[in-house]
Amino acid sequence: MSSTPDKLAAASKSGEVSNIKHSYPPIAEMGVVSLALIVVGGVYTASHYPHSFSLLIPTILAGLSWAVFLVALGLLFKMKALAREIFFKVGKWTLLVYSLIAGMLEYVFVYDGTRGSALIVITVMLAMFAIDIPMIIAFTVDHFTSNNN
Amino acid sequence: MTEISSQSFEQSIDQGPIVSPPLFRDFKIIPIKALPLVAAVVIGLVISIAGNWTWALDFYHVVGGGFWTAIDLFLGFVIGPIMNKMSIPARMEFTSKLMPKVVLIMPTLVTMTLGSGFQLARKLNNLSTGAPAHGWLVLSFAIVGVMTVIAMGILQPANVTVLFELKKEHPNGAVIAKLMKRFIYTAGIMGAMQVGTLVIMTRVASL
Repeated sequence: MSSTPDKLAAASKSGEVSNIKHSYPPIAEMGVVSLALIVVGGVYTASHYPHSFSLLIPTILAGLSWAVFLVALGLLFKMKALAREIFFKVGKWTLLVYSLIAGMLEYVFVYDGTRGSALIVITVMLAMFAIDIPMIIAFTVDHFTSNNN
Repeated sequence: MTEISSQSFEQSIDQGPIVSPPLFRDFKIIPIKALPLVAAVVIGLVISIAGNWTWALDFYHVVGGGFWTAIDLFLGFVIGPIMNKMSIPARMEFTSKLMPKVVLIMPTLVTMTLGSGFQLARKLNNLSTGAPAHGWLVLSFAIVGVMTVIAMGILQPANVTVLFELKKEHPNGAVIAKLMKRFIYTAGIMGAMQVGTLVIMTRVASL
């Protein structure tokens, strides 16, 4: 007789969990790629901060990140299976939290005297950070919970 | 109680979702009572950065980083293997009590550590490209960057989803088990990466 964990593993492998995953576009994965691009841009910026440096690489990374995010957002709102109520319920609170975190980071840069183009690029990256993570979290909750009702 | 719960889990695997005992659902996703404590910690951090006080910045960085590392390692290498051996109802009950606290504790510790760390590096002039510790700091930025992507992109969504699933009248045991496995493994990976950060930080401190 198989044990309970074995049954669970079997259910998890061949059952509804894996089937659900394949019926959705890779929105969470695209969100993670977008986040990774912003983080690489952030590490590059932080490694040169506070001295002046070329903003070309962080600008390209931020642009790519926004592009991937907007494609993911487009796919998200095209989805008929999206449970909008739960998505927005989770999304609005996580957006509030990550906006506060991004706001604090922005404050640190402004306080430390960052101005001009560098501040604009950092603001664009922080805005992406504040919007992207709530989308990943809200989508993941929606993905798993709405399909099991 | 345990027998009833175990029987319910068997039903969930063989016959689909079951009615979760109210005990598992009787929790708040965000423990409201702890929010003032989190606010106090964050306000203290902002004041420390604004005042640029070395002792306060050191305190936030060392205490935050120490707890962050210890909790990650504990979750990944102690709690994780224990949870794998627990019955699913026991795991669900344990998870419903652990995860709301983790949702508040971990982001607070991460904010403490990184916010104070960056300001400390700036104050000590370690951000300057000519500083002896600069290379080590850039390496630590890269490690923290990878950890950020794992934490924000994989760990935190899994954490919140488990809480929503547990709140349901018919939680899916397979979904919870899958997401908890993801949570525990990523916490372990992050704990191991934190050890790398500890090596770098002790090296920077001894330069």
